[in-house]
Amino acid sequence: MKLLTASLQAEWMKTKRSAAWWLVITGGLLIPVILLIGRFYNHELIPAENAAPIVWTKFYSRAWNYMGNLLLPMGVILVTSLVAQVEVRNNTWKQLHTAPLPYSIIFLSKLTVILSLLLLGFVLFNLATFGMITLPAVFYQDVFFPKAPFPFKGMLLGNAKFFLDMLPIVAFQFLLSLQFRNFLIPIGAGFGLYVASMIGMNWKYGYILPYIYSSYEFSGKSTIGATQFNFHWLPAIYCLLFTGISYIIYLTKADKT
Amino acid sequence: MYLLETEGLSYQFRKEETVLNNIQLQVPEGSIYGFLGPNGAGKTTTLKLVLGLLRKQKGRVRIFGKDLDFDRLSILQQTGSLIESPSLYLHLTARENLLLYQRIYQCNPNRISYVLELTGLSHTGNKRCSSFSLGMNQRLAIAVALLHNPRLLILDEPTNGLDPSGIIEMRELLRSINRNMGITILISSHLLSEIEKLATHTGIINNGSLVFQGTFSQLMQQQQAACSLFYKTSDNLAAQTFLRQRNIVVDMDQDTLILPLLPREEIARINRELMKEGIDLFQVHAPETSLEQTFMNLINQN
Ligand SMILES: Nc1ncnc2c1ncn2[C@@H]1O[C@H](COP(=O)(O)OP(=O)(O)OP(=O)(O)O)[C@@H](O)[C@H]1O
Ligand SMILES: [Mg+2]
Repeated sequence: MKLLTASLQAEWMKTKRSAAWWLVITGGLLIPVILLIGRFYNHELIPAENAAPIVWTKFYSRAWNYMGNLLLPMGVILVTSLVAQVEVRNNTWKQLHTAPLPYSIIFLSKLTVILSLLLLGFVLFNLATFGMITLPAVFYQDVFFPKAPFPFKGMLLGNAKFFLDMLPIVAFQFLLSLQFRNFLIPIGAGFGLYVASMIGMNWKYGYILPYIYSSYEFSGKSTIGATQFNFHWLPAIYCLLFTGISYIIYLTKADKT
Repeated sequence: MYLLETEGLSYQFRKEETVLNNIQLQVPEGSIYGFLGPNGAGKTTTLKLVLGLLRKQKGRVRIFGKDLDFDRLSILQQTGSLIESPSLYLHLTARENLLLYQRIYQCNPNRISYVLELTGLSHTGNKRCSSFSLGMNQRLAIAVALLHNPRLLILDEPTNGLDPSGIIEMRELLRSINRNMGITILISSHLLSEIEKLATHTGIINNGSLVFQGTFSQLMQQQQAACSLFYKTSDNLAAQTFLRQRNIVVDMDQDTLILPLLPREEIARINRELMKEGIDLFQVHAPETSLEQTFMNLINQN
C-alpha cells in the first residue's frame, strides 16, 4: 500500500506541465463555453428557456450530445496515449524498471492516473455545463435562475454511463501504448476504431464495437440487440478483457527497457 | 564472497546470434570494477540482464548474496543504475526528477539537495531538463542513481557526452564515493584509458565472451607471459639449434628468432653463451607492452 501511494505520487508528478492536462481542461470546458456563447448570442430566448421545466435536461443532453459523440472519445484516446507513453517518450522505462517497484504497482498506478484525469475532465465538464445553464441569470436582470429542481440523480447516472462507455477506449489505448513505441500507432489505431464506430452506428450489430458506446447512448436502444441484457455490460466486459490482456503483455515483455 | 556475481550468463536476441556466452562476472565488494569491451561486445546486454531489464535465458545473477529471480525488489532497493543514456523526464526540472524518485525509493528528502550539490547541478533551479546540455543530463542521471544511497552502482558508459574536464570530475566523483562511502561501482566503457585510471578490477568482454577478469596487475602479468623476445643473429640456424638443445622454444620468422619472454638473468646468460659459440648478436629486442596493447591483443584474438 505504501508502495502504491509512492508510485501514484510519482506518476502524478510526471503529468505536471504535460499536454494531457491541457487536453483535460480544454476538453472539459470547450463545449459548455461554446454553448454559453450561443446562449448569449440568442439572449432573447433565455427567459423562456430558463422558465421551462426541462431546462436542465435540455442543456445537459445538448452538451453531452457533442461531448459523447465526438470530443470525449477523441480526448480519451489522446490523453490515455499521452500519459501511458511518457516513459517511451523520455526513454525512462529502463530507469523505472530498475526502481524497487512491483510491475503490478507500476501498471496499476499508471492506469489510476489516467482514470483520475478522466474523472477530473468529467467534473470540469459538469461544473462548466452547470455554469452554462445558470450564468445568464447573473448577467441579465430580466433572466431568472432555472426554476425546475436540479436533476441530481439523473445527472450522476448519466455521468456514470458515459464514464463506463469510455473504459474500453482507455483500456485498449493503454494496451496499444504499452505495446508499441511509436506514438502514431495508438493514436492512428484509436482514431481508426472511432471512425469505424461512427460508421457502425447504423449497423445491426454495431453494439459490439468497443469504441461506440458513448455514441450508442443516443441511439435510443438500451439492450444488446434483441436480448434483454443492458448494453452497458459490454463496455464493462471489454474493459476487463483489454486490461487483462495488456497486463499480461506488460508482465511478460522480455525487454523491459 | 562477491557483491555481484553471474554464473553462466548467456543471451540471444535471435536464434542465430549468441550475444553473450557464459559470462561469469565477479565484482568484489568495495571495488571499482571496469567492464571493458569494444562496441557491440555485449556490455549493455550484460548490465541489463544483471538489473533484470532483459528476461534471463540462461545462468544466474546474484547480488548482495541474493538471487535476482527471488529478491529483485530488495536488490534494486540498494542498487543505483544508469544504462546507456540518461533516463529523465525532460519536461521536469532536475529537482522534480529527483523528487519523483525520492518518493519511489522513500529515502530522506535531504538527499535531493545533497546529490544535486554532489553533481554540481544545484544552480539549475527552474530550468527543465529538455534545455539541459548532454553533460548536465548525464550528471543528473548520476544524481538519480546516487539518490537513495545505494550499496552498488551500475553505470553503463557514464562519461558519454562529457567534455574532458567533465570526465575528470566524474572520475573524481566516482573515486570519492567509492572511498568515502564504500559504494561498489560496476562501470562499463570501451576506453581502456578511462578505466585504467579509476578501476581496481577489470573484466574484458569481447564478442560476448569474458576474455579476462581480475586486477590490472594480473592483466599485466598475463600479458608478460604471452610476450616474446626477438633475436637477430649472424647465424640464425645455429642459434636455433643451440637454444633448442637447452629446451627453449624457438620460432623463426624470416631473419628473426622468436623466443618466449625470459627473466633478465636468463637472457644475459643466453647472450653470453651464444657469443661463446661464435654467433654474433645484431639485435635483441623485447617490445614493451602497454596495457593498451594488452587490451588490443585480448580483443583482437578472434
Ligand atoms: N534489442 C536488440 N535486438 C537485437 N540485437 C541487439 C539488441 N540490442 C543489442 N543487440 C546486439 O547485441 C550485441 C551486443 O550489444 P550491446 O549493446 O550489449 O553492446 P555494448 O558492448 O554495450 O556496445 P557499445 O559499446 O556500443 O555500447 C550487438 O551485436 C547488438 O547488435
Ligand atoms: Mg552499450
